[in-house]
Amino acid sequence: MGFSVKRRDFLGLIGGGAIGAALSPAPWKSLDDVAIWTQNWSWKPRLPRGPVEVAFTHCGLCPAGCGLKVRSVGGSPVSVHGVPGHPLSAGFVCALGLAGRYLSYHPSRIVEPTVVGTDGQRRGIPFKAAVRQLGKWLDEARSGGGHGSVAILDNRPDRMRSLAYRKWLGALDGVHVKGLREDAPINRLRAMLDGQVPELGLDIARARTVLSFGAPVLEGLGSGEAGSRLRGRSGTEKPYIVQIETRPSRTAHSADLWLRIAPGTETVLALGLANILVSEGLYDKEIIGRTALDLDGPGGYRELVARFSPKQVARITGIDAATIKKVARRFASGPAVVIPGVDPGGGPLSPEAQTAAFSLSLLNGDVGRPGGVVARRVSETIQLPGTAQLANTVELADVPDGSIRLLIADGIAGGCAMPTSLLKRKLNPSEGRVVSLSPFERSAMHEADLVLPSTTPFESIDETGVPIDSPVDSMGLTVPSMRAPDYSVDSLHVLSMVTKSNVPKITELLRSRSDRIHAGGRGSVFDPSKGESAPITEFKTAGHLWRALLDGGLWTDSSATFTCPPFRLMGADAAIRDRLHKVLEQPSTADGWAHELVLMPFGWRDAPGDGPLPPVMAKLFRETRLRLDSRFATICPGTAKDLGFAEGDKASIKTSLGSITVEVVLDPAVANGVVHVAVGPSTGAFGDATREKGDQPLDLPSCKNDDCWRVIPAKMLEVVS
Amino acid sequence: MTKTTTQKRYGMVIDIDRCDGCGACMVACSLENNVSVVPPEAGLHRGLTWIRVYSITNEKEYPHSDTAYLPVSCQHCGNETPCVGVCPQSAVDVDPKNGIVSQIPERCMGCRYCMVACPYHARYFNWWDPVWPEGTEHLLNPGVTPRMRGVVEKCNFCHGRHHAAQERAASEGRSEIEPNEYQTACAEACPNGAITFGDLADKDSEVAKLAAGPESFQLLKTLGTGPKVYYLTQRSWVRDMAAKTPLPLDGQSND
Repeated sequence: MGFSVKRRDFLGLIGGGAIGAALSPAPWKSLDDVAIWTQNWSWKPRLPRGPVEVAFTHCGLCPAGCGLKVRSVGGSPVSVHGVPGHPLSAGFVCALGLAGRYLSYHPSRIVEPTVVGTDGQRRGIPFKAAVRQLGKWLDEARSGGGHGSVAILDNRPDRMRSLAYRKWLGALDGVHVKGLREDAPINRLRAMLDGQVPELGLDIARARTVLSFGAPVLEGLGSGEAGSRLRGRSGTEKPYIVQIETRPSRTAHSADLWLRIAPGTETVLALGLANILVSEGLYDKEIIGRTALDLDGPGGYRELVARFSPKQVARITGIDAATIKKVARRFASGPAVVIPGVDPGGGPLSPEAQTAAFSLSLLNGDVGRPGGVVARRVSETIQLPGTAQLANTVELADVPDGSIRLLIADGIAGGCAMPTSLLKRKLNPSEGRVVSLSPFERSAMHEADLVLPSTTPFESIDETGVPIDSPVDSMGLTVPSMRAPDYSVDSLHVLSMVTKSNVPKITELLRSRSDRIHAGGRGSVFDPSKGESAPITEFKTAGHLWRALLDGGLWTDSSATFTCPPFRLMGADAAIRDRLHKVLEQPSTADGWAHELVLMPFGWRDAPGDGPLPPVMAKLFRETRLRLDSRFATICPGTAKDLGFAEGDKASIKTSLGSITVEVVLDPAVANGVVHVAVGPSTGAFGDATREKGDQPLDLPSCKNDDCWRVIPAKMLEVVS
Repeated sequence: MTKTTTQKRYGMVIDIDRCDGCGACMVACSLENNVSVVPPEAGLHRGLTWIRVYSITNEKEYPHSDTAYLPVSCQHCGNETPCVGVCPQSAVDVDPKNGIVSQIPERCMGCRYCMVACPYHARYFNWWDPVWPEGTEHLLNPGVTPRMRGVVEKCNFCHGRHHAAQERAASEGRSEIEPNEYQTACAEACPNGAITFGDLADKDSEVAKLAAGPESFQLLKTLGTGPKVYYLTQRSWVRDMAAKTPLPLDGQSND
């Protein structure tokens, strides 16, 4: 019998083989290998290589100055962790701190000096030409104007660098202007006290009650140590947090009590609380009677608050009278901290609201007692070389309108954005020029006439500042963990080039302060590598202390005692007293209840209100919509329905100054008649710096009267495509 | 030679009442695990977020509204792990020594059956090449390999940290990892202490005690997948919402 292969057999073999092969892993593995091979191109991510190093430093992204442990590979910082036991941050690092090193590579990074030409177009110029231009404008400003025609805007005005600014300005008869900061309202309290008042800190951590007027106390305000106590993580008794806020913020969400106040009625509530303290005698009559200079008499504080009965206050604020009484009694039961918050995008409360809020602290005897408002020891001012006097430091609000001819903006982030109109008001209308030293195109500075690229906090040495809640002075350094790019410049170097004067280098200034601290012999120094502090007397020489600070150490001063001097419960400013008396009579633009719809701009606390977001944060908030940016407006379903809007609709929010287009997002937690829009970097335009500004909502408030733009009368109109 | 041999069951307890939606866990996770920065057009449904914080409300209007934040990552199911059974490539691995459910990107062929099977929407597909903004690649964590386009990825309880802790213990002659030696990035970063990570098999551990407490519950418990991520809340409406099938979460990632 012969063996024959028929056509059918051959086809069967082929078919069977194909089926068998398909059932085996071979083709699938090949397919998989091909798929992987297609990924194997030159652009695939290359991970860092090189020696591993660990160093300690402080975060310079906000004044909290958290201690950081930075792990570097091949000279690149690949991870950041908190430092356990750190006296100020207690191991805490916020999301921004974790990702902040990525900011050095942000697409909105300024990589060359730019100037706005006569044609209105911005163009790049060489560094030396930029310095010459700045020098020319400086000469023009000085010849055309008097005192204060040259100014430096400084978001952290208490650094050694600021001292050098003041010296430089002193020789030019200029002024040193404080930028908007979260601790700015404390100056309002200082102004209510008579005589010489030291630097004050809010002792949040030891307070029994925290009365927060919209302050982001659970979103990173102040030090990490205070945050830890406020969250009940330190093992000590947690302060009771009362959050007074219209917006459903993260702090409002997590507070022990959230008072959902009608927009712009904080002054009324504060005076209503004072009414209960006074009428029920919940204050030390002997001490307050002796130290309060304006409690009694015609037009006095007692007369003022008598008009703010719980019933009346409940009607205006929307908070029921029983709750107001309960909060007042809780407040009076022990040391308390009152914080008139500065919103990163929504700005400060009105001056009268800040005054009314701080009057509660004074009435409760909290100024000068632990758990209230405490004083910091202040080191003697360090003398800088040169004969010029130091220029005065003033708040932006105190700068006369139209007085500045040349404004130089320091590049450090303050964490708060401000309306363009507010800044422009201070400039000379025809000759006012703005020079910005900044690492990024940011906020109100994006319209600067001249921009010089500066370093990011991870690239340069500087001081961290003292957090708002710290009861003691401190000194910590942001030691660079990344190399500064060649195109970036130091502000002091620029100033010395412009005037050809001898402005000290930042390291010399910091070393001077360190040496002075060592000579003072007070306080202790925290060693992050050991997690423990040692008295400063253990540092034999000034050089040892300087070395410890460069290694990420932190000096903290010893605490001071402070007796509250005589004070005025309505402040010393007659205009504010007048506004307090008229708050019930003349609902201003800040009194939102008078309008059908109000726009309340706000900023996210740990995304800088005046800077960009690291790419990872932009990506995550974009993908989750956990934080909506300025492209979105949140509004409650009822108000939206009344206005004819539904989820996802495009709307135009219009005020007297202009309009912005937003997408409507319905949120039942938003109050009736209110629309919230975030101020801050857009998460949706990463890589396109021109679309990233995200501060358009701040083009809408007029800021004519009180430098307050929390509540803006607005209309919401349909966008016709 | 020292071997780490003890049977463990790693898990997590998330206190919803402590979470305020800051997103620090998401940021820390992405930085630790080199989760790539996908382009803006990724939108809500094609992003990469190994742990994703959802915002949920009680559906009442102001002033009676209440919001809760629900961080959801891979639940590391311990019973009939849904993604394991459906994977044709055996690219999903459950470590019998510690219960961690891992994804093996080299084996994954991107069919996304596992994403369909996962009732928690906790798996993510790489729709784009893994790219980072120019210059930032040298800031990546050198201990974790970025995944390629076309594969699925998800939370693995920071596997890189687990390996590092094991290595450290073995090099010091110890057979056990101390509880404080191995923490996930999200638990470490949470400012509110809302996330507790540890060994559920250790009855004395904090995570085991919290998981056994009266306020503890699991997402979609009725499915019987035995998640090793537990949640805590005192709010009944949050529990009710967490029991609904499918989970009423906006922007779910099963695209």
